[in-house]
Amino acid sequence: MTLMQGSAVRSFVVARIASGLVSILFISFLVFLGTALLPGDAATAMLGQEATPELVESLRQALGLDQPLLIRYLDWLWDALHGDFGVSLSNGQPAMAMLLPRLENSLILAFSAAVIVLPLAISIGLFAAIKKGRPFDTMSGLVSALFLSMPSFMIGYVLIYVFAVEFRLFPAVSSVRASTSLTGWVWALTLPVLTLVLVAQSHVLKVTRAAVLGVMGSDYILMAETKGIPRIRIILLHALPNALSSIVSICMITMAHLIVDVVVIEAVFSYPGMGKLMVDAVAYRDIPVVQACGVLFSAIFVVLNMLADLLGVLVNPRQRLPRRGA
Amino acid sequence: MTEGLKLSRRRLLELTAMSGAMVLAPRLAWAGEPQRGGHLVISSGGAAAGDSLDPRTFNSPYGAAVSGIIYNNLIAVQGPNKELVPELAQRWEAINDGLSWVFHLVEGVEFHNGKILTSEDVVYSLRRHAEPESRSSMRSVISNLVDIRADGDNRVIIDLPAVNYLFPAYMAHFTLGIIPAGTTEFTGIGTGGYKVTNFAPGEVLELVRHENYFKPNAAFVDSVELLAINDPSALTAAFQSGQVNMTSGLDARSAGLLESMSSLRIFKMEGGGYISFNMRCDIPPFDNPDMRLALKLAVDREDMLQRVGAGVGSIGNDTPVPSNDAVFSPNVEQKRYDPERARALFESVGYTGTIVLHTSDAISSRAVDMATVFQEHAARAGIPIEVQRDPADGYWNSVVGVAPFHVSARSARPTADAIFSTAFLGTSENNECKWVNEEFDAAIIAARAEENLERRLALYERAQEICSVDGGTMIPFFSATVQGTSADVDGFNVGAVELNGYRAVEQVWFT
Repeated sequence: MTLMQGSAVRSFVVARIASGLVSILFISFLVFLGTALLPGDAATAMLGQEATPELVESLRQALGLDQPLLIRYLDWLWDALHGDFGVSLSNGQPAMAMLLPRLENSLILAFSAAVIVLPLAISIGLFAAIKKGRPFDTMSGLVSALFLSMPSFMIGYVLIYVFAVEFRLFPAVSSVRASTSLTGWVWALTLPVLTLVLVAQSHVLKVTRAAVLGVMGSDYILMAETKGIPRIRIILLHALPNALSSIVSICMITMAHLIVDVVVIEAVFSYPGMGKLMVDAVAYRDIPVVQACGVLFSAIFVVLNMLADLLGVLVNPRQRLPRRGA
Repeated sequence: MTEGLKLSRRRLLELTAMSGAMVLAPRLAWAGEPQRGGHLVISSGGAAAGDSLDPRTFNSPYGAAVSGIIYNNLIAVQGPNKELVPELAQRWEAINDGLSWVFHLVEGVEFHNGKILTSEDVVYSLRRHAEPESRSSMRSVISNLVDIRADGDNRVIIDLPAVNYLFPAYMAHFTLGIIPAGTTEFTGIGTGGYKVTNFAPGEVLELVRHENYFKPNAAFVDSVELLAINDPSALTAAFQSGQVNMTSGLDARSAGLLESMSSLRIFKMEGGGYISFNMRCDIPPFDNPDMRLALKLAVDREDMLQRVGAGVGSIGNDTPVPSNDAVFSPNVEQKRYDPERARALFESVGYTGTIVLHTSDAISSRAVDMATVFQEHAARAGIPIEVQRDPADGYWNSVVGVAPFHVSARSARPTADAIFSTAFLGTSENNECKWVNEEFDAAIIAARAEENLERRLALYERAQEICSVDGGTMIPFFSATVQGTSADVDGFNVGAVELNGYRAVEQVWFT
């Protein structure tokens, strides 16, 4: 029995990883296709107003733009698999070399937010479940929904107005660099992290509360209640472990969303991360950088979603069934 | 600045105490007296992760700001009247009847790496712009020159293809900063008042004072930080919060709000930049001059300036010469909103159907507003305009200069000759309206070779008349530049070119 279960888990894990890799491959084609369809190809974009037809043609040949789309894609994919996303059109630096330090900054931002928001939202969600129907439950639900319904950039602007312009406690622009000290980082990151926390808390909080309350309807909880076990003990020791799989899943998905939200938040706070790099690269038609950013963002997103599924299964044996079409 | 009549008893006590302190400290510095020291943070938009410190690649407000801090030009442009002042060239004069210009260099100017400036450096710096791989915006100007040559260590001679008394103004363009001869790695070695300590493209440029700077009374602050802030709201917030000490590129619509804050000083300047409606003069119905005039009379310029530009700017007359320009002619009749005459002209053309006006955020958020407001004005003259909002991606390449009727924009140039030559001459590749008028072209070419100021002004007057009535470019108003400093910064002078010809950093000090 255990053997069979083990192999079922193993084949699920293998299938899930394989489907993740296929997704990334498919997305890489979409990213490539998307950048190829942008109006005005890279050659005209590079030459700008000074373009003459002969110059454009010679540059197109130099860039290999005269080759069919599929050949270009396969060439690009082959190089990308070796970690080479080509060189930036604007300054000739390898796209990866421009991207990695900014990826680091983006991850610092996203993980700082995750480290705060996940325990916080789970605790509030749990407490709301314990105090179901009481003022704390209503208030936390209300406040959480309020921030959920505001666009993330607006939360950012409101925080800037209150904490940077009015009270001058934190900087409006999160300018960090290699020489920035640890306190400098904390000072600069406070507002963007707070924004992300407010944006991301809602789903974790609501799923935690709902999952715990869902389990609370089960027969074994009724049994525990009739035995006279205190409600807080029931929730923490009996309900929470069984609700854990959906909580772990939502945590992973929230982290994936955080990575996406940083794109907007970095622009609002002029934070030197990958999102800002990508927005700039699109504006300046720096195609290799756009492609590298696009693939990297989607890879992170796919991997975190994959982890959500895998962890969800691993913490809950009842879910160890191969799913179709995952 | 003044407390006005709201002088409370407590405030009076404070003032009395302060004046006492002043008696005790007679050497307390007063505003107007430059002081050394401090760390200045400035900001600019238009930055990208692909930016470089190669002056040839500068094509954005950020590049222009960088240029004015680490490089010097032969000539700088200063003040509201765009006065040309000596920089690396201490003087210049025309020889060969205006066919050549001689620039006499300041002696003993030191680069950041200790090298002494010679004429070879200037020749190298300028010639690079004409190289085949150059994407410099001064490429066409420099490649049209006959020669740029050194005459001894301290003289540079530039030979022109035709007489042009207005030529020196080009040398003030921000891409023409001087670098050491043979530079191929651009780490920011220039002659400017500040030298680079750290450059993170698209993020920040950090600098310290160049102790051997050749200008004796300049570069007062010890260190400078230029932040790249592309988002206009983030820029305003950073400036309001005191994180940034000095900035250009503030939104005219928020100028009134910022002016009310006592911690800030706001400077508004009527500029020469504009957003225009371009009519392709080689495509019907715009090949008919009556059609062009009908549209020009169908725009209510005052109303548009109020509603789109928050009243900050000046009314345009369909020529690229703003009223504060040296060659502006007040004798050219200012066009007024005249729906009746516009209707009559439009009907005489016999065009039926709607006129499609292309616009996009790529130009500016105002470009879309302007098109919509114009639609309203024109409707009252019975001219049906359809506003088509195009995506920002590729607008500059696929619509500007291509579509029959579209919105475009131009930044301020140092002289009327520069803007007329780039955007209005029939022979210019950058003539987006494809407008060709031989009499106009002749006047512009003749003005360059005209040494006599009065006769030159007369030629420009004729050129403005023709352009205003016959040209394909509608210019409803000129935008104003809004710049600001925090209240503890002194020495900021307002110029027609932003940041006082990009030299504000070396001119300001902390009080």
